[in-house]
Amino acid sequence: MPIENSRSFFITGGTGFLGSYLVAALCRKNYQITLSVRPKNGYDAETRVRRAAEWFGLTEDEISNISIGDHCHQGQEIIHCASDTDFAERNRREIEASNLQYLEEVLKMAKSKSASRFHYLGTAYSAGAVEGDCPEELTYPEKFTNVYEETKNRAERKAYDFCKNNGIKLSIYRPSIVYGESGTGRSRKFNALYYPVKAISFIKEIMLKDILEKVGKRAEALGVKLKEGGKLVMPIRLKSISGGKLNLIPVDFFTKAMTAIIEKNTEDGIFHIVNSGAGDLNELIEYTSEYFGIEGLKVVNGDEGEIKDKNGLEQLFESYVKMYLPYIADRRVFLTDRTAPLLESENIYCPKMNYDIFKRCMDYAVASGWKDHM
Amino acid sequence: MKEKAYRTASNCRHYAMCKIDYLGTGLCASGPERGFVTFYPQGRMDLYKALVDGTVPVTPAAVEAAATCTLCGICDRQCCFVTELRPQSVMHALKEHIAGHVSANGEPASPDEDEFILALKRITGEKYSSCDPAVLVCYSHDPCPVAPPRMPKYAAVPKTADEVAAIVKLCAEHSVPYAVRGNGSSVMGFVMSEGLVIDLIRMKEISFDERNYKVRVGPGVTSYELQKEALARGFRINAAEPAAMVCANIMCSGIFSLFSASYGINADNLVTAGFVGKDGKRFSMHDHDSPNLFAYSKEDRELPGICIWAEVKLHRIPEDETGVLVPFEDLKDAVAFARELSFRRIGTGIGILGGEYISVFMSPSIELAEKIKNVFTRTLKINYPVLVIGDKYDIEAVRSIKPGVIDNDLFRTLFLGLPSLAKPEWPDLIAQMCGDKKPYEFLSEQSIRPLIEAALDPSPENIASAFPEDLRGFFGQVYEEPAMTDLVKLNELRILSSRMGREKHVLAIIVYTPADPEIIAILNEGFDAIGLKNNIRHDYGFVTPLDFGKRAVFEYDYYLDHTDPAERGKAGAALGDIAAFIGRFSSEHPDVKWIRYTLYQGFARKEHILYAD
Ligand SMILES: Cc1cc2nc3c(=O)[nH]c(=O)nc-3n(C[C@H](O)[C@H](O)[C@H](O)COP(=O)(O)OP(=O)(O)OC[C@H]3O[C@@H](n4cnc5c(N)ncnc54)[C@H](O)[C@@H]3O)c2cc1C
Ligand code: SF4
Repeated sequence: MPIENSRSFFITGGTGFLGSYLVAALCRKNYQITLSVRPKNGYDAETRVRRAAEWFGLTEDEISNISIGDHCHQGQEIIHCASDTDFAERNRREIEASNLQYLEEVLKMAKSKSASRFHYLGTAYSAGAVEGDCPEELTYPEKFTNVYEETKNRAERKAYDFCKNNGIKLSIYRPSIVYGESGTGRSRKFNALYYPVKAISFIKEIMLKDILEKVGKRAEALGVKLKEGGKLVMPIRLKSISGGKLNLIPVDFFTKAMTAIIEKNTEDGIFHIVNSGAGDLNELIEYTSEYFGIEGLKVVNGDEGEIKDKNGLEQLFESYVKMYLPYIADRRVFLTDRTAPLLESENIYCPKMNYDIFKRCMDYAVASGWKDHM
Repeated sequence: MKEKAYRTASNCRHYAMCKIDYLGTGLCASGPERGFVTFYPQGRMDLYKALVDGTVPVTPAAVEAAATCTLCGICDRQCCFVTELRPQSVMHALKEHIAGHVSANGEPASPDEDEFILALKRITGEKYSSCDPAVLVCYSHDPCPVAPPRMPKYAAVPKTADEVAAIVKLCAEHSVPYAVRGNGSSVMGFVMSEGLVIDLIRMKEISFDERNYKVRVGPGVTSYELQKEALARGFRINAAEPAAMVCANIMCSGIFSLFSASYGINADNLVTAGFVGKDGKRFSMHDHDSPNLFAYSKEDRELPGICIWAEVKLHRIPEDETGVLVPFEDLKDAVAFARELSFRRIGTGIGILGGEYISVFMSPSIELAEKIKNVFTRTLKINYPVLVIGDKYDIEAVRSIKPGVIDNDLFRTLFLGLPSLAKPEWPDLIAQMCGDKKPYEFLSEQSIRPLIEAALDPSPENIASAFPEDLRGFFGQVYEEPAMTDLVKLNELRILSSRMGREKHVLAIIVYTPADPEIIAILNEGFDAIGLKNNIRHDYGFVTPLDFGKRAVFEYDYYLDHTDPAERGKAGAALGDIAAFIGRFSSEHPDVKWIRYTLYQGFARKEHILYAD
């Protein structure tokens, strides 16, 4: 018989990427969980939860801690993970509906059910288009990089005002960019870090096919060559800015950190769950080139403006890089005055990305055919 | 084996694509030789089903229909291209059925002939009139959900206008009702009669008068046949369904196509036409004392006469003409754009297609079409591509109004690489890498073309791989022909459009409407709601602006398995709702008009249809 944990949580977005990791961790600790889940992709709510539980290898006892329901119970804590991570302005309506309107509904529920704490899963990037230190406080930036950052910032403020006015305790968690598990390479989703790497691997495959099975005319038009030792030269210059960093955290660190904060923290507060040893784009390119046997990828300093005479491959990456540049060459520094001591006291540290971790993650992604396990 | 043959036979849609040589295979030889539909693959399918159902006995015509099939395989290729059906299995089964019957019972006796049929045969010649049930049954039904079968007593395939006039007089003398038939592909129960069906397929006159930009056609000439001849002379006609007879198409729906944006509809399509009236007398539209066929009234009308020839307008074709697809996510934006083009006289052909049409037309199979629809609509966000055909000035203008078009080269790449496009990796990559651009804008960028080509591997063999294995070699050769992937040619000859009825028979609802984005969006929602309510598959069809963007023609489609009584019932109920909806809507918006009243008023001036209250 599992020992029942006295705290219980109502969780939104619990089948999403971060939400599901959190749910699995809390289940293993025998917290009671109510999950708000909608049917999706032809799967009903129950099946979605069960599939996720199976992927995490939860036992039947652990799964029995989960119930599915649209409403939280009186006095339950609420963890609001549901979010739309799309950056595209053209999808503003959907992003606002998910990141703001839905939050409002959940906040109202927190009030009507006298929730004992509201945990809001935000992002470090709600700091907006700024440079330098970003404190663990509410911020009011003048500009945002995109609609995602903007709505996540507005959402924090909305949650803050609402909770303050209604006497609800509030914790805000701000992770940076999350990838798979550092120890095993497993991941339920292959977005963010994975997209450009996947694009490179996909393009490599089609270029190789063109060279080996056709006459290689298209590869030639793109300046792609196969070198004698089997390495493929893909001339792609990616724009970066000097001093720009890339703040990546593995999902196992995120989960441990957020769970520890939920368990240990009793005050209202904002917590940056980030990597204090953030890397840069050069490292990532090095790992990608090594992993896929590619040459020609390089980072150029874009401080002085756009890259001239872009080839087709560079054009392909242009829009993507433009959108993600603020994250892959980021001058924001996320301070961790509140979070770091708490995590250190629990012996929780974020590993720095290295080739071994990268390889494990990519091995798993490739073996999964880059298909999400969602 | 027999079950499969029966299922195939039951699923013939009567779109008559086996009656035109659109793949260069030649035609089923016995068809043109004998005239009756019974001697075309379509008729043999109907005949086989009727024999198995016991609707008709084995008769001399049934024996002849089976015997004249040489098992050449042409129908397999033609029908598979459009419907994925393989009629040859039916032909084998038909031969087997007849052989079994004859060996058990001997040769069948000829049906009794009455005075009428004997007189009919005197007019047409022995071979071209019949009262044999095996012939008649092929004229007795179509997939229309609200038209019950009607077995005629006689069928005739006259050759000349004199024969038509004599037949009409004979019918009047004997009080025999008749229906006039082109290729029967209106599929709304219009070409059935308890009396005589006059099938005009043998009346194939085509004579060009290039100096006056017109061509005279007999009522047995299909749009495909005429278009081919016109194109060979550097001209084009306004054509819609390729298997439709030109005269029938004018009489029935006035011929609306993407080219109607500039060539017009109804009387715009012709110079004049000749008819045999109900009394058997002839008249021409341009005679002062002839019935006024240019007139129109909003009511069901009777057949004003049998069209025995029409002088159809010829249009010149600029050498630099090409086609582009301009993608839109939203219907209203697409309508506003198409209206603007039409208003500014940009483009010869304009049509707003939907995700359904574009994917179904391009894909050789139902399975691939489903996947491609997802790629176009969900991944690439191409929900409403506006197809524009025009000269280089038109296309430059289109590009300057809306950059990011799919030109014919890219279209050809997508088309010939369709099986690769259906694999999720590539379109997903586009969607992920496009940043804040729309996926389709990104797709159309010139610099990434080599990458797209490398990824999709466009080739005749690749698209042919979507056909059944035994036909891949043949279709590989068919797709070597550049016309098969040319937006202009595909629209002039329209060989792909009947694929819309491949998964299920299509019930097309057509209205004339102001080219107003709001009104069209409301109509679209209304039709959509009716489909949902009646639980019947339904989708947006297309919109073409008319008369310089003042009006438009809008098609919305419902799909039904016509072999399933439950689906026929649902479609019938939906039709009731559609009639009520259009009635209500057009009483509020009198400019919205249902095409149903065009039947037998197809020669009317479009101004009477579009602008008179
Ligand atoms: C898949 C599909 C798509 C279509 N798309 C279009 C489209 O885009 N645009 C369009 O305009 N139509 C379209 N149609 C409608 C169709 O092509 C027309 O209704 C056309 O009339 C069918 O030609 P048919 O020769 O088969 O005529 P039939 O079905 O044989 O006859 C149609 C009507 O005309 C009468 N008729 C036939 N010949 C004559 C004659 N010589 N004199 C007097 N009356 C005659 C018949 O009695 C009948 O009432 C489509 C049909 C299908 C199946
Ligand atoms: S197989 Fe028979 S029915 Fe089919 S096209 Fe050939 S001859 Fe005609």
